[in-house]
Amino acid sequence: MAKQERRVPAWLRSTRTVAACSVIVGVGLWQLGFEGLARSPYFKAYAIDHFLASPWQVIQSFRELYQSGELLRHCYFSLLEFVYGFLLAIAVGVPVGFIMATQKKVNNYLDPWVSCLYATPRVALAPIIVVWFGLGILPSSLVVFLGAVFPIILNTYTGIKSVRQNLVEVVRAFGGSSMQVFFKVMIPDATPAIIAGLRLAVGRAVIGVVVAELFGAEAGLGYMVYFYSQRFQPGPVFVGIVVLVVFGVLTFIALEKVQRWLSPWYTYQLRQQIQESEMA
Amino acid sequence: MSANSSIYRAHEKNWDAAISVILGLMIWEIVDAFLVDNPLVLVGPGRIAEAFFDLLARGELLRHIYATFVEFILGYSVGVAVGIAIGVVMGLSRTTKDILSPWVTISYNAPVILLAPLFITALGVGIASKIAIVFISAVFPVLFNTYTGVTTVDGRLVEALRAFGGSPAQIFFKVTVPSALPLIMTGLRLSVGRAIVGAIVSEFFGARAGIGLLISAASEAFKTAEAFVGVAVLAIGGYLTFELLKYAERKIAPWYEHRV
Repeated sequence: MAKQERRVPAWLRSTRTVAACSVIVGVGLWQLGFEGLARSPYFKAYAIDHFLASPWQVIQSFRELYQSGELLRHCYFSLLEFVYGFLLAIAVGVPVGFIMATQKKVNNYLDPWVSCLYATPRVALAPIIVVWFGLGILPSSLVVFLGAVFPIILNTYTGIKSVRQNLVEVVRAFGGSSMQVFFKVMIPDATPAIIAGLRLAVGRAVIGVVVAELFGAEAGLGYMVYFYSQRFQPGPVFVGIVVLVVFGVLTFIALEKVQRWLSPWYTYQLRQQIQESEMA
Repeated sequence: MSANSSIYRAHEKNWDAAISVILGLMIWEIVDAFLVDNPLVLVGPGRIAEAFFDLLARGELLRHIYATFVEFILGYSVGVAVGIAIGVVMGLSRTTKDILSPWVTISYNAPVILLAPLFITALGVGIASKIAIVFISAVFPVLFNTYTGVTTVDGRLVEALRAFGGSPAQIFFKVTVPSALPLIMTGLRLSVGRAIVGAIVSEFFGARAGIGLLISAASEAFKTAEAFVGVAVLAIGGYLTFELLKYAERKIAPWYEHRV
């Protein structure tokens, strides 16, 4: 900021402007480069349009898929699988994480299994699960569940373990019952960590939906991507990726909003801590 | 008796873990042997071990492990090198960061796995397409963590070095690199998981060899035991790599307390 005599005005150098320019220039270069490569005789033999689409083609395939209603149908099935699997993962992961954090014996017995499964890439189980449960929504939901449940268990565990003990003691000292300790202290204090776990789980769950749909599905975004990539049409593949990115980012933001709403003190406190450490 | 219980209490966690694993495997085996007699639905540890030795004896297992290992190592090491290089440049130069960050953010959050079929169309069913997928899966966690590590260097240390006449190169090598190392190591560890998933899933889409092919081919042929051998190999491989990197992290950056 000290170099004010730079010729470039400040608004042009701001992060947002540069980022927007970067995206526009990048997409433009992609379009031009694609046109150039696809038309040039030297690259004809590589059949570039079989695995690469230009931004314009992606927009066109999006329009086609949307107008035929195909895109919405695939989105609907993937969303159902995601929601079922994710809700099940929350319903299982949060209680298991809580019990593991509070009951030492249970933790000792479950820990080897949880760590082992956490280290295994769970999408590797997708083909087996599809063979077990057949086609349809159920196997994909289970793969989503497997992907999402472990981050939730681990973060709930960490969250409950790091509940501030002085708060627990204050409530106890004023005669709070263990129910009150649980609902008024432990749950609120662990909420930010639990939601951080949910946010980690979103990414895993999205990959779970897509991979499970490869192996046996009649609909879904993963199925759509696979279907069109087998027919050498890269446009719909990129449409699928864009839709999933948008979905992932929106879920991420929504979870952040939920976290601010449930535990508004957390961000404030964190910001204060950061400010303090900067001043020190 | 009291001596026994004190030994038990001193290593309670390890004892419990051992008991849990042994009990779990026994229950699994008993259910397999006596209750559910359908090798498609349930395969016990015994049958998985049998399938393991069978695959090992045929030399098939080693072929698959070798293929996945080569894909992993090549894609991962290139991904790590590129990720660290771009992360450092982004951390040091604001303009580069501003230009690259929208692309990096998008690619980091995108399920790049979905590009696997396109990569296979472009590069063939051989090893090249898998290396490319492993590369793009591994590069972004390393890149992000390197960038964060470089930008969160303690300003006071930099000031101190500058006050004593340190050159930019000295500041970089004596302050920036050591204080960014722990986060870079974390990035390396995060990338392992993604890289393995990348290798496996791209093998699902079509491959000549590899653990992913073993799993998908075996389960499509209803040989569930063989598929579980593949999963077990992955679990062991992932665990070993993870522990190796944790060990390296402690050796390289012992001042950084390990956060679980």
